[in-house]
Amino acid sequence: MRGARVNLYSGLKYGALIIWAVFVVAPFLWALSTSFKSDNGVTGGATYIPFLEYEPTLDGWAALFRDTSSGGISMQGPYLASLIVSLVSSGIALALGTLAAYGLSRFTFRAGPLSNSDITFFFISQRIMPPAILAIPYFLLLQFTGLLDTHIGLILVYVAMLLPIVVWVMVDFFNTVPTELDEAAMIDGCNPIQAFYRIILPNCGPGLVVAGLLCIIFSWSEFFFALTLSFAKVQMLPPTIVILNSNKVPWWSLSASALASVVPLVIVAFFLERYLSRGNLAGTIRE
Amino acid sequence: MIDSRYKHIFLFPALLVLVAIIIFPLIYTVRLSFSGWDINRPGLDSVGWRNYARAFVDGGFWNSMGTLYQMVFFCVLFEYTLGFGLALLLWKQVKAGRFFRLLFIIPMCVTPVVMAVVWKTIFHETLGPLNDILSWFGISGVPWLSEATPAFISIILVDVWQWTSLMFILLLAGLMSLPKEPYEAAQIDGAGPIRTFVHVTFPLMAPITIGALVIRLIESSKLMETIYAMTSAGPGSATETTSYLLYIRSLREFQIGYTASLSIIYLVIMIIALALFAKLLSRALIGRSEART
Amino acid sequence: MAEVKIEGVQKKFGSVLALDAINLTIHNNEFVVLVGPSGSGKSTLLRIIAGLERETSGTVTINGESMAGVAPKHRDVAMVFQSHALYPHMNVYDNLAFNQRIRGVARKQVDDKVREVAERLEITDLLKRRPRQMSGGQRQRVAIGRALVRDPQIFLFDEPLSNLDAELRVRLRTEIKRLHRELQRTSIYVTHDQVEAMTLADRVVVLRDGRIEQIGEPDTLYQRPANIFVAGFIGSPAMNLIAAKASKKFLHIGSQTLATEFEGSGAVTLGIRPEDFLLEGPDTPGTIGAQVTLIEPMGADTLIFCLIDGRLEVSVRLPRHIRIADGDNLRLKLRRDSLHLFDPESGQRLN
Repeated sequence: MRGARVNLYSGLKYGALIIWAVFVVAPFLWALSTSFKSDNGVTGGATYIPFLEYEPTLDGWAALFRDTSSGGISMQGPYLASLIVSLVSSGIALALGTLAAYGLSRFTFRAGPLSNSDITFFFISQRIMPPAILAIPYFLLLQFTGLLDTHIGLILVYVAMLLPIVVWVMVDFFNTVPTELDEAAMIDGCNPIQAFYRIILPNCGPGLVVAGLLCIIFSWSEFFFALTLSFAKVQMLPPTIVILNSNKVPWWSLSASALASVVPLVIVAFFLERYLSRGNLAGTIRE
Repeated sequence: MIDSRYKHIFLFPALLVLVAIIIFPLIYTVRLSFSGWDINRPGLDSVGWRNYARAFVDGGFWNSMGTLYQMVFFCVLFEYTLGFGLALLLWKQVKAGRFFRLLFIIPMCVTPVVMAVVWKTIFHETLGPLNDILSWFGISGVPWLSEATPAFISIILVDVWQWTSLMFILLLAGLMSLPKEPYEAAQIDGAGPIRTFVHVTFPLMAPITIGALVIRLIESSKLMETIYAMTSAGPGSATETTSYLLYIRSLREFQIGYTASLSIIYLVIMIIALALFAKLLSRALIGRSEART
Repeated sequence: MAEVKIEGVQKKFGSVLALDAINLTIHNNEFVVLVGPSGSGKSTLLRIIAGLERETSGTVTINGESMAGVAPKHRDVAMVFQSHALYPHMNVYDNLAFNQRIRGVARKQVDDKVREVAERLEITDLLKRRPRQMSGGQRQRVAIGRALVRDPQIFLFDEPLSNLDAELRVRLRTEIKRLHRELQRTSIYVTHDQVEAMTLADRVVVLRDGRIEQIGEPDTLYQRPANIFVAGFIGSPAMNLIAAKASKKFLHIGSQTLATEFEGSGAVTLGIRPEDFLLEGPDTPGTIGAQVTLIEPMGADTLIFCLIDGRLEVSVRLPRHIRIADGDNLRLKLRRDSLHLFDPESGQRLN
């Protein structure tokens, strides 16, 4: 009888997991299927299986490369812009954020009644600001400095958005690295900066990777500032896709472009899962 | 470690960027909130507290706060519960565990707004698959995006789809870091799975629960992109959250000064609410589990 | 060649006083051990000497030069940590060579030094390995090697053997002693284990709660502890400390009396080491009676717990061939010159 009970239990377990798994992939499968449709696959009601219920075509995917003038979407521009802005802002945020996190982990700062944990909290609390609040000041600021609708303008804004994430991940990471390592380096003859980049940093791989991947995810998917701070010269992916929505673009091109824009992120997700399962982020949350 | 002159080199670059790019704009917003800058009268003038006075009787604004709180409540509730459930399921070695973990992490990594666009096609009343599948079960023509309550539900559904995976990751990491000894003791004491969960797992996870909830609350309070893509706050203003309202008022209607005052009020309320919530929750969860030992 | 002078050093962490009024001079080529229970401040003192912590007040001078505000790398000290603190991303060779490379030493010289030290410590075949591929004992050897490559004027050890198992500890302890004999460098060693202190040190400094209880050669500390704390801390098994009363050349222990040369009077704490008891036949004068309650065979000796007057417990160490049984009544004689008398209030030595 015990055997049957166990089987029922694990059957339920797998059942639940599979149900959720189906829920997770459903939108992707739908978009994939839709991207191969044309008129008859859509206007007559929902269809699912190619060849059985509709004739698949490559119209949707071809539109990605065609110019907007001929009814296409031309994803290369936005793709490149998103790539540049994501990678550069992530890199800068990683550099500055890791430096700050190391400082906060190793030294004591005092500013009146405030100390290290307050400063860390200050960094992290920046995430409370809804982008909507900062939209006007940024718009005016970037306009004033001539950085509106430029890569640099967006990169600057993104770095500020990403710093809290980097500091959050890396402060907890550094707290798990014993200070004896820094001390041994300093006794061996390093000043704190040398100790940081010769001894501590090379041992930060996992933390840096996780922080870096999170940065890329957030900056690639950022929508609001991309929408309001860039329009003509710089077009980022998320606003491009959303604008298609209101431009009466057919569902198949829409689905194809949506999928194309998130493919890099799926790859990033793969690496993120790898690194997360190696390390342990629980300490990060225990605040 | 010994305090040295070097410590400033580490902290200051990041601090500087943050102050320049977030603090100054915030101060500027405060200044703006005292001006009457709008499309008719551009420029930084001074109108005293008039904007704030207007804000207090602004029905749309407070409505949006109410809508926001309701949405956030349901979203975070479902995301936490489902995330915890999934984490518990995948906690012990499971066949294809890695496959499931990888699959479950994908929704939180993909662009929310883009997936919302895809979901919009799914929710389409006549051409979308959701109503189609529901019709197989005899439920016909749910007006997902054209009526208040279904629209509300659709937003929550999409948010849950997206962010349950974040809670899942955080809670799973937490579960994996728990010590084994209390479980062995519970086993020897003869506790079943439910009792073990209530008396061992949940209390031990208290700090992680609080951290995960706070993180998700902060992020979901900014709920705007999904709404932008799916309902445009409609029908009417049934799904209008504060973030969305601020966006419309400031960048579409150009009521810069007035919206600045709304922003400040919103910020103050959010910070107080979050701090209170964190404190209450930690007292409830951690206070209790400390007493239990 | 290095002399370290510590004068009036005090260290506070916030409002917690970790070290108070520390005065100590460590002579050239001396091996000094700082010993004490946890929280005694011994590691803090070592770190202040190293330059990893700054003293709140007082001065530390090395060879006459004040070390106030001087960073560790300018003090020419090398430190072996409790947790070895080897650089995980480098192999043994690079770990040993790092501090030379940082100073810009020529490659050939670095190589010579590293190989010489590796041979001396018998870790030459480990040179290509990473720390995580080695055992605890090997790692600690490499940590010592790192300090040797530095060839500093002062060696500092912060409980280097505490993380190792007993057998390894004894082996490495002997190696450290041998190294000191060969190299003759000023060394300061911190441990909580008084056995390590006694076997390694030229002089021992006993610390408690941030204060120095006694400084002296191991022998001195063993035979003439300056106060109750040192008496109970040094020596294993620990010294017996019993309440007694002295009056006019007699000691009253419970209901029994002993003649003594001590001329004071009043309440005293009597200290006597377990091995300083002699077993006498029954009814021998000048002895104390005690009843056996517990017997612990220790191999070469036996440790016997007895009660005097049914309430004062003492431990007695006797050679193993002496047959004793539970409940036996023993007559114990106290070896001459083995009595330690302390003031019960101040803890200070009286005789």
